[in-house]
Amino acid sequence: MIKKIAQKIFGSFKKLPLFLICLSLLIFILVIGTIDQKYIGLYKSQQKYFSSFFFLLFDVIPFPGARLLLILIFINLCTNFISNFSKYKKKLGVVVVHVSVGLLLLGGFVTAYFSVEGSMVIEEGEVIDFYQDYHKMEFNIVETISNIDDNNFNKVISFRQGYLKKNEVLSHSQFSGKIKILKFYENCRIVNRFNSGDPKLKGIAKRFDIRKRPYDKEEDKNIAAVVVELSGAGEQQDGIYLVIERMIKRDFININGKKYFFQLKNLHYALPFSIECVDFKKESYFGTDKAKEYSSKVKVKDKGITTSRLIRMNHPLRLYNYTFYQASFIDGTQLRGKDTTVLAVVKNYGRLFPYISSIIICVGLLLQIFIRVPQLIKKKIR
Amino acid sequence: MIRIFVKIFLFFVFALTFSFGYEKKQGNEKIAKLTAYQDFGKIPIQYNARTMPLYTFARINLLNFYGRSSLKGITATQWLLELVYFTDDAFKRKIFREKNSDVLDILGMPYEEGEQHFSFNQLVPSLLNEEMENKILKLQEKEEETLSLIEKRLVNLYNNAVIYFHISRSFTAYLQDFKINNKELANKIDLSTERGVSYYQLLNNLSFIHDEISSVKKINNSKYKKEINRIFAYIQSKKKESNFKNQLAIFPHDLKADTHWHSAWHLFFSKQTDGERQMMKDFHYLSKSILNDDKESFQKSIQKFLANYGSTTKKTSLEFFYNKMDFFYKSIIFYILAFILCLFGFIFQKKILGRIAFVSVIIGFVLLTAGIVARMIIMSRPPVSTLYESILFVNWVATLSGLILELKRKDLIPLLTVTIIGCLSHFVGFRYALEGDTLPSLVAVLNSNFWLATHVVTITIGYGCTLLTGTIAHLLLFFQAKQDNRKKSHNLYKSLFAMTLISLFFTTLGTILGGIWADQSWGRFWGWDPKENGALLIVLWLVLVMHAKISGVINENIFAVGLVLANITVILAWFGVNLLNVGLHSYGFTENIFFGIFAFSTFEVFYCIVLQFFISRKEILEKVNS
Repeated sequence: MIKKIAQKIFGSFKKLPLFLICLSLLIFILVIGTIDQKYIGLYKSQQKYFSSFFFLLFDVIPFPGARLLLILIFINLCTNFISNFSKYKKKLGVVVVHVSVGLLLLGGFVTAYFSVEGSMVIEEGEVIDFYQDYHKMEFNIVETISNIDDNNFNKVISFRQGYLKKNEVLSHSQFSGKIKILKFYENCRIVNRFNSGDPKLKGIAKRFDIRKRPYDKEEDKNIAAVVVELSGAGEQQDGIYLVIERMIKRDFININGKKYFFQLKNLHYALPFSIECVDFKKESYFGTDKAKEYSSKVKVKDKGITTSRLIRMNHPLRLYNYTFYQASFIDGTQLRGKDTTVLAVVKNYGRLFPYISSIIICVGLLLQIFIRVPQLIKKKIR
Repeated sequence: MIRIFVKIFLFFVFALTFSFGYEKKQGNEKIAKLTAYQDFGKIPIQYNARTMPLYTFARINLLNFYGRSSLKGITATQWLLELVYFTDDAFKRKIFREKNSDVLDILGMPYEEGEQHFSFNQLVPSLLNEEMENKILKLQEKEEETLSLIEKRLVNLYNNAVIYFHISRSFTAYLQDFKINNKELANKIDLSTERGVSYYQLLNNLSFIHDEISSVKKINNSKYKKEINRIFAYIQSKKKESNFKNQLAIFPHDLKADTHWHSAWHLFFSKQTDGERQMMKDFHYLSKSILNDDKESFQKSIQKFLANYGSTTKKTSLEFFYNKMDFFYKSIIFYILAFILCLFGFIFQKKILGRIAFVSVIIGFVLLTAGIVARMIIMSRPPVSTLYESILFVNWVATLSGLILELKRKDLIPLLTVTIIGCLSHFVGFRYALEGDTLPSLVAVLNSNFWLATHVVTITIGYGCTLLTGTIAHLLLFFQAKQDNRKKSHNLYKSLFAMTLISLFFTTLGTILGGIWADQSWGRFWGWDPKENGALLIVLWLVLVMHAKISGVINENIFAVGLVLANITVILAWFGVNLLNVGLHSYGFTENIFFGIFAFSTFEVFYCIVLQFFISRKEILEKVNS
């Protein structure tokens, strides 16, 4: 009896359309990925489950990623639509809804591949014309032209994180040496070195080495570092160097009368204009520290024209394809009395897709409801 | 028989709706007599980043210390009055709840099965000594997650005791606890020797003999030297009370609401404006009337005080009224009543019971609506701003849509579902209300935003509709397993399909609006974060179930099963995602939520398995028989 019941229940699942399979898998990933976020952090979870084409479930089983599934669903949607168009012509509501879903997915792909997000940290009085990536790093060879330690006065050759792979060799026409990547870790532990007698080790590398650490959920806690081997700078200076993110101590290298140092920091994106933070204000509820409103008064210098703008919570600044949001701040009372505003920056060409498709989806679903629901809810049959 | 029933029901209705005016019989204690001074609770206080009536403040704190927002037959306002004006009595009252035997061991308190509450006096020797304070300070430096349960409770108890003590210091400047012995001096400064005088009175009236006390030399030459020195000693020792924090901030700075408000002691040590001086004087008369049990003077003083000070009294009066009415406690009674009536009406097929049930639900719904609307007016914001409010609103939506469906179908199925959802949501709501202030002000990012308001309201409507759909689906499965009427269940199926469309509309729209809000506030429409994923889960599940049915992969019964499981997705999206990021601020509470979600999901899954088993069995037997 039980066998028959089981057969009966599962029998109807024989002919499963591709769409339903993809959707079921997507739901599964959604649940697993969300739970895993608690353990590996939001960023890593996004990368592993949702932005990927494939991943290893529980580090063992190969599984399709959300990106692949969504692409399959999109293709399925389009092909079904085209081949069954005559059938659907009559069901206007259904058509409209599915078109808008398609648009939404399309917008999603544009965003996924073309948008860039980062942050801008501006102290009151400072003027900045770039923003930094949240996670990706860049490796810089900086030629010091003046004594002032400010990138505006130095010549910088920059290599994006993609170059920071083991055994990759970095070279550039403006730099007479060659740099080979020995180790690169997104997060590391700095340890004392024991075999410091090795003549190949130079500068900080003589005393310290790095060990890999898992990527910390909290972005700020990650310390990135790279170990490189320099050649072409002369016997005295050729060797192994250690470059750590945010480390102030530097190893200087002289080649042909030019003074260089290496730098590892968050990937910078240049902006076609600059922003000066004039004043940051935090309004709290009376009698507490609870934030009521954050706002930054800024000056935008674009091609010689300066405009004053105000960026508040929920009221971002939009310029060209960029949007600047008030994200958070650093209190200045402890340091020199100047507050620092932290803005979130997004460059996105596909910004408008969700707005358009949500209007269409609404219209479509409403149409469908008004057509079908009255038929469905009739008086109880006596 | 029915007539008597109806009469009883109507009596019930009247009794409940107007019971807020009813004063319960109380004992002879002084605190019982304070029942005449309830209006004291209307005074606004600046607390927790907003202005609220003292009644709310008292309820929140009593809830924190005692576990309930009122003592047996005594309102929170009376409790507060005793604490600030009759401190000696208050310190003897058993207020602090602690049932952990290990904690009680550490404190050297007796552990008895029934006894869970301790007075401040009982706790002082073991909890507020230097040794324990140092221990607690060390514990507070550690990260919260690393503390053991006992350590957490100890720190909690300590903090509560400290806050309790600080609150009790609020009006000590107005307590008439100093007796002037020298009658001549008393006459000179226009104070009596019969009754006690307060710090305030002394400070005020000593100006009458300003010359005599203007220097130490003059005091030493005065014939009241002994008494004056005694007075000064009293004043000096009293001043120390101003050092305690957490005192009641009920005096708006310069009488303006949008400022940082003062506590009584704070006001003494700031530069007072004329208005503030008058306010202090009025407060002195108010305190005096309470201390001397003078009901008439109290009425005059409180009306004057409320009228003149704190321009927010309109909203605080509404909040006072809202608290007094306890709308939601009243509402659930009607839902429970309706559930019983509906169930019996269904089983015994008595239409009249169903009709009374319908009326009962309407009354419960009206009370629920009144509560929600009152909250909206008090905080000047849309109906859903916190998790607690989402529970109330889901209840509201489910009731409304269920009632509409019932009007169409008239077969008590939607009504029964409404009562079930109504009772359950109310219960869950009560549990959340225990957490403290249910009307908090919002952090910057959630403040005054059109997209946020529309998103939250829409998605909550979606939750409500989906839950209603899912619960009715339970009934469809039940009927399929029991009855033989194909047409009836197909008819119910059609209603369910319609409701799935509506639920899908709201959940999809709500999810998209959430994305738009995120785009406006943080720069990205979709970030795969838990809250977003939760909402998407509901949408995708409904889409899956619908498409599976349309393409013929599943039949009507499995479709109903799918809708029952949709309930799980709603609960996961609504409550489950909060568990992922929790900071363990309320350890017991979080564990309960997890357990609740787990139990609910297991129940739903079991329900589906069991019922589907019976349905399939019935179908096979039918086939065999035919």
